[in-house]
Amino acid sequence: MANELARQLGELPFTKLNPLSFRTEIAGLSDTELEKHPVRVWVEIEDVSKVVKIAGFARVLRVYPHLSFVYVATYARELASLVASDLVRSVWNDLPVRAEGCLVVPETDPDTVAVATRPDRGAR
Amino acid sequence: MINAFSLVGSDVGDTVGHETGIVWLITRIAPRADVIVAKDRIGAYGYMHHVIDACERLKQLGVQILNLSVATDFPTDGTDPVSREVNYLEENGIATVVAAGNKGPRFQTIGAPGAAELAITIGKTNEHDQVRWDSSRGPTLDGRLKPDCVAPGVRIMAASPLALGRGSYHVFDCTSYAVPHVTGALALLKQVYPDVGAADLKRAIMAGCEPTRSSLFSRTAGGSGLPKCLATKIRTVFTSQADLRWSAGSGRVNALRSYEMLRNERNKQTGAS
Repeated sequence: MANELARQLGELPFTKLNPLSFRTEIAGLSDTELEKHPVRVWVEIEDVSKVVKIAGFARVLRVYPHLSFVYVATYARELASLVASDLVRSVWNDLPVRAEGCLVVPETDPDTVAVATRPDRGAR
Repeated sequence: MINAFSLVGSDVGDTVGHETGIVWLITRIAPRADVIVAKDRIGAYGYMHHVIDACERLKQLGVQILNLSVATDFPTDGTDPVSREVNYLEENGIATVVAAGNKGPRFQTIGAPGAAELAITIGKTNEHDQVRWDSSRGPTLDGRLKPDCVAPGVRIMAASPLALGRGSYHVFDCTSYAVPHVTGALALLKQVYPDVGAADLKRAIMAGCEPTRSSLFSRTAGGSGLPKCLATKIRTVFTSQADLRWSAGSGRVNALRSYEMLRNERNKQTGAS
């Protein structure tokens, strides 16, 4: 089963889907889910300035000519036709970018700490 | 002077408690620098298009140095949209400093935009001048050396917003707080040498780095199946050097050495002409 999935994922044109987690997420959807699953993706196109419309039910949200990317809203079922196109180099899911991993510990004002740790302070 | 704008509503206030401290650190290191804050998300999470739109707006406003204390959860090869945007900014003369992320100690954990080839990607060191175990490691998915260097990012005391009810100061542990140390240093270098380009700034920062101390690879990626004592010995002997290479890049940033390098270069050019 795992080998079969790997074989399917390895077949072109699904390697155009990025990142890998997005590829596996889409591959794991049933036909019904594919119909209803909305996605926002970045489509890398050979000559983005010539794009007028993306075929199918894809809505162009923004065009970034300097990056060769078109940002579109569509449904998962449309991804197959997108990646099958020779004009499309890659498709990136619009995944979260986050400010993460910060361990936060409350502290008092550093000036207050400096004053409080002076040994002669309390005696006066 | 500090200005701010928001791409996600009219409120520019810090609702996460992440950016206030970053601005505070930059202005403490480079007090005369003008800072523009772009709010591109409501909570801790934003999306790639928010970051790119913020970068474009900042470029239009004429920023010269960009601090991007964000990272994706997934590693990339630097061809994703955010990394491409960072490369584009660098090519247009904007020095961009980005966080490596906190997904270590596994190798190949550098996300976007840290994987951008032209970005100055920063990992974090602890109070003992060692690379912190959870600082994201290179190489990128396409095998390039990242991070470029490291800076203090553990037990960093910085201001915290009153809006969160905490107020005052907090201590932060993350690569997000290593980045403003380098951004502040770049601002100082740019003030001394306004005509220096983004690529030369990156070169000066990396050439001025000092070696960090080996972390002895105290926590390693995954289980090897070997007895613990043997695995530890093998890891210590064989991977500490590899770990340093993929975790610290050129080493810990030393702003003074970077300045001296730039100054010497300028003096040579002046003497030659």
